[in-house]
Amino acid sequence: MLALEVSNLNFSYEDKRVLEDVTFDVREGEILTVIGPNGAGKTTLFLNLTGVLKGEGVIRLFGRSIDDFDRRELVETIGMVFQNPDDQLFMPTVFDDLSFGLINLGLDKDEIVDRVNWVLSKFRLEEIRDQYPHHLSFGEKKKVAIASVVCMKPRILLLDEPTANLDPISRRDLIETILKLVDEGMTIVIATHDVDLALYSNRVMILNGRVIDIGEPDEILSDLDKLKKNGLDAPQIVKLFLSLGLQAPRSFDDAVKILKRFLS
Amino acid sequence: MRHHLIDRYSHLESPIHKLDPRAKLLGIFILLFSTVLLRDLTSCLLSLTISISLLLMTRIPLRFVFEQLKYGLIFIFAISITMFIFGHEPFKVFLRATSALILIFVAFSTSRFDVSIKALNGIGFPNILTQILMFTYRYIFVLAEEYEKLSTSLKLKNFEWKTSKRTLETVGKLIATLFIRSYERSENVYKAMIMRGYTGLNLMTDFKMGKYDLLFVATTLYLAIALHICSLWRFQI
Ligand SMILES: Nc1ncnc2c1ncn2[C@@H]1O[C@H](COP(=O)(O)OP(=O)(O)OP(=O)(O)O)[C@@H](O)[C@H]1O
Ligand SMILES: [Mg+2]
Repeated sequence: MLALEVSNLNFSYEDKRVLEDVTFDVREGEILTVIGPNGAGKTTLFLNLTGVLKGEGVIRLFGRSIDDFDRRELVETIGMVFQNPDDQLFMPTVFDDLSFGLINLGLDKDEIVDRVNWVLSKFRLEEIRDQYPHHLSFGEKKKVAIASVVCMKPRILLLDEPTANLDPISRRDLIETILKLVDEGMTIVIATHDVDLALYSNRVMILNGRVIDIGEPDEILSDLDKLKKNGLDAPQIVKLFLSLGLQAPRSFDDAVKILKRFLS
Repeated sequence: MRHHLIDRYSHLESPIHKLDPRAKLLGIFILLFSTVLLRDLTSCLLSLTISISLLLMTRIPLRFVFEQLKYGLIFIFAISITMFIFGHEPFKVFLRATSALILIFVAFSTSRFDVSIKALNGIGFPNILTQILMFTYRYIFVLAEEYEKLSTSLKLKNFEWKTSKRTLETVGKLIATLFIRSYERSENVYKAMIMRGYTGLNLMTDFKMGKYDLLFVATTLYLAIALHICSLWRFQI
């Protein structure tokens, strides 16, 4: 089933055209990585997908037009994590922030506490439950921001630059968490400059105002010219494989397989 | 960044810290209201005694108390002097204002600030004002951080604070930048709230009012009335 279908989406800020005839879809339970240079319109696309901005064109969530959703249904269907966690964490404490959306959903108190505890342990945030956001490091804020949307259990999760400014361990933890969420049935769309992330996803889309290309990671990431023309670069590992004259891997596991075959 | 405001010692244990935050605010507001309406010296002195007793009960280090209250006290002192110069009697004003200042300090230093905001809402502070207070408390630090970043980058660019036209222009631009960033941020925050289903303020709290709390409110009510009876009685003789 298709979780998300976008057809001929156009969007302008005042008279500046940012999205032009954007058409693509996302299957249920997959990870789609959207890569594109600064100003490509990634954030703008996400804001359209959540119904906060309205452009021309059709957006369908699980087969239903976004215009037929009321706000509550929309909140339960699609959630977005902002690029800058300070935009997302607006309550006085971590606990208040995590419970904010759940209270709005009208859940009862016990369930809210259960869900908050669930998400705190999932992101290993138990120790900062009652902290003020201004006492947290950037990486911690980022995790809390993601947790605050994940705890609402939306069917589709949009992550805007999730790995920016994370240290290597936090980055790896986050990727593991994302993969676990997908195992649990969530559909995830990631906007990023971190092209390595593309190797964890099912498909990759290059966005630069328009959809330049969309397909399997090995197919998209091996077209170095196209990447370069759109202000992007291939992951180091892909470049290494290509310069060895090997086929581009579609994931790290795949890379290991190709390399083993090559060596034996 | 670790900023601490008035609630630095909210984790202490004391008869005041132990109170339900709503009872504490209600009781202290009753005393506050009574204090600002007092009209004679004796009852003003009594009121100050009560405030100081409450303050001592909190066990907050007096150095911190003084640090927090010094600007307020200087302000009150300046006002009293001015009144004296214009031929008014300054002592009562000085006593009342100091007492009020201490009461407010006791009210807000003995709970975490976020708890105080929720407690205010719990005793009838309007939702919209509560929300504004929460945003202010959250974003004042973000703004401070942004200001620090901008001023560091000015320093790195060899900017010097002097009394010159250029300094003024630069500061003007700096303020404008902060203003625009805050505006953009507020738009994003609003979007983030909508996306998480915001329809109006809805707080979850686990306050519990017990006998001890009721006793505290009853006592403050008694003291508030007693102060005024004393005041009336002093006035008649
Ligand atoms: N509120 C706004 N008003 C006017 N123009 C805007 C607004 N937000 C974004 N833009 C412009 O729209 C274009 C696309 O911005 P967008 O934030 O969607 O890009 P992006 O791909 O997310 O970039 P980045 O990688 O830097 O996050 C940019 O040129 C930007 O200047
Ligand atoms: Mg962006």
